[in-house]
Amino acid sequence: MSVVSVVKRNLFRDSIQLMRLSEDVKKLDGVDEAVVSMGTDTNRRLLKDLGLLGTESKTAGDGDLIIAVRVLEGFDVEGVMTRVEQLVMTPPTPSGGTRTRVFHSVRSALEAITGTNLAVVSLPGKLAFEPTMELLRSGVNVHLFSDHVPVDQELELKRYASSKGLLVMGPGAGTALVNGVGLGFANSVRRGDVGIVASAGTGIQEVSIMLDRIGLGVSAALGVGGTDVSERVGGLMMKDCLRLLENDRKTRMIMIVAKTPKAKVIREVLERVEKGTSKPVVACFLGLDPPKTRDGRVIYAKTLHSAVHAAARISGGESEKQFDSGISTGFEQLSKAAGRLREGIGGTRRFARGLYSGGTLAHETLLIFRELIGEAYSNTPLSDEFGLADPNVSRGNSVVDLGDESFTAGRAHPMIDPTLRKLRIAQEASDPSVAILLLDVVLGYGSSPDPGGALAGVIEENVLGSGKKGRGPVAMVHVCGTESDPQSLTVQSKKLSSSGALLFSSNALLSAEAALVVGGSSASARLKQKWGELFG
Amino acid sequence: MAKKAAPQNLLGSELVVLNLGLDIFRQALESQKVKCVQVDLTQAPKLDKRLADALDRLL
Repeated sequence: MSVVSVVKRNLFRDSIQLMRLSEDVKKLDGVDEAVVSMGTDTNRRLLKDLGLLGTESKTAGDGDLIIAVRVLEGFDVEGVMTRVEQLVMTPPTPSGGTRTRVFHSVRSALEAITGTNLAVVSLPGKLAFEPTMELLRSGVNVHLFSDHVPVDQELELKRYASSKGLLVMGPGAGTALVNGVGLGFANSVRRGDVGIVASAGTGIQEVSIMLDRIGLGVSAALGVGGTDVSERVGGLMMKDCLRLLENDRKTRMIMIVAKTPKAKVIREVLERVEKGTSKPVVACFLGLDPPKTRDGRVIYAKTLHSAVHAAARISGGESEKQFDSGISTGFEQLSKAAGRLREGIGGTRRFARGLYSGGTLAHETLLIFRELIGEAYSNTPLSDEFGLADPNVSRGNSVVDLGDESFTAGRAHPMIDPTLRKLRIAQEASDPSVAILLLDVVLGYGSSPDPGGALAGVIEENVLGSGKKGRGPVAMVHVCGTESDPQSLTVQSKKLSSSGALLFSSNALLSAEAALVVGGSSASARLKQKWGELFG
Repeated sequence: MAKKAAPQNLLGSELVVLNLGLDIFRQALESQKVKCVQVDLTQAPKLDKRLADALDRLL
């Protein structure tokens, strides 16, 4: 077979277009394997792993497009590559409906579409400021999905928006739910009376799917982006969103979710809650010890699981029962299952490796591991000394956020494109010291149409109990989704379960179980002691 | 800094959305029956802004 690579200098296609082009090229006659990607470090590494890194590809930069193809024996290489290039060089067009009208400026779209009240912006971060400000000046709220927007620009956008009574949800806001509509990566959850404001995208997804499962629903979920709770931005939009939820008559209870917020910012947010909120509040500040409750209205939760448990207790009745029967499990049950798993794994396998697509879920796992088995290594570590020197190589107990920018430069997010995670699962499984693989599978709008199916094959080939290769690690999976998600929780769970994966109803339970398996009796003693904090 | 306004009642309004960037988000909104149009700023990077507006009016 021949490997051919072509570099198109200064040609940009977005990550989703590239993923689809790769899929389309693979379907052409004579093509064994193909990758169409921008020339970033991550993508060149992927090409190397797949045996597709040609000499010319090595010279490609971030702004260059690489076409790398392995042509099957017996096919005319030149003819195949002509068809490949024709496909790749065809200008992309919006898909999904013939009625779609495309505009080429914000102004023309606003003139043509009356009543526009929201924009979703997912442009590259360095290009996002100008059109976002234009939208705000026109009175349009913005869900700013884009990452890498400079903080000065974020502050300018948020100050302007706040002065006009508009929302800027982001930058880097993966998820929002407004009037029952999911924006970005969002699950299809029932509407209800819990309002969420969060600086943690998959944090919104995790609590909203659990609220859905226990019969509670979401009135609104407003993601404000991770840097909103930095000292520089000062929780500007989080405070405005709290005011919005306080004034929203459909919101009866407020949930605040934040990932590594600054203590000073949280003090200000809580002051706002105490002065301006009459509704019950559940607060989950992942990675920050809760301040002392002043007026008793704020209930602090250490995990996303316990935040939903608190909401269930506030609601009482049926939702509390459904939490106990549908999500929760007891310490003894978890502990016994861990013992059985340890016996099955045996031998030299002693480490847990988390391969996450959701950053907040990875963070929650790191926090639970720290409580039970000590801090794990990560590309997004809790403390610098546990940073992985190379995010592509794990050590000891590791938790890797594959949605971090070190993996997504020039590539689609792992919730959309499973390629990198599949390779990493096989890589970790081949390490004889690995006992447990922790995986999240995030369903919902924006995500891959079949994320469980995409991973099932590589899990089946590599894990203990189902593997063609015999004794591998145990794969533990949390499916973050609902029945009404486009991918269906049941369908995805069946695929993963059939592959040999063990499924958990929350990421916190999955993390605790993994810690029990690798941490043995000392982890068990700690979990028993901290059960109320983590799951109560 | 301008005087702070009360947040608008986005939560009570029917959404009418412009999508700038990834087309999957427009598709996701349309699958939820939300009125949404795509604004593509990358297809004609060197096009004069007035010309782009004029073309959009004509098309």
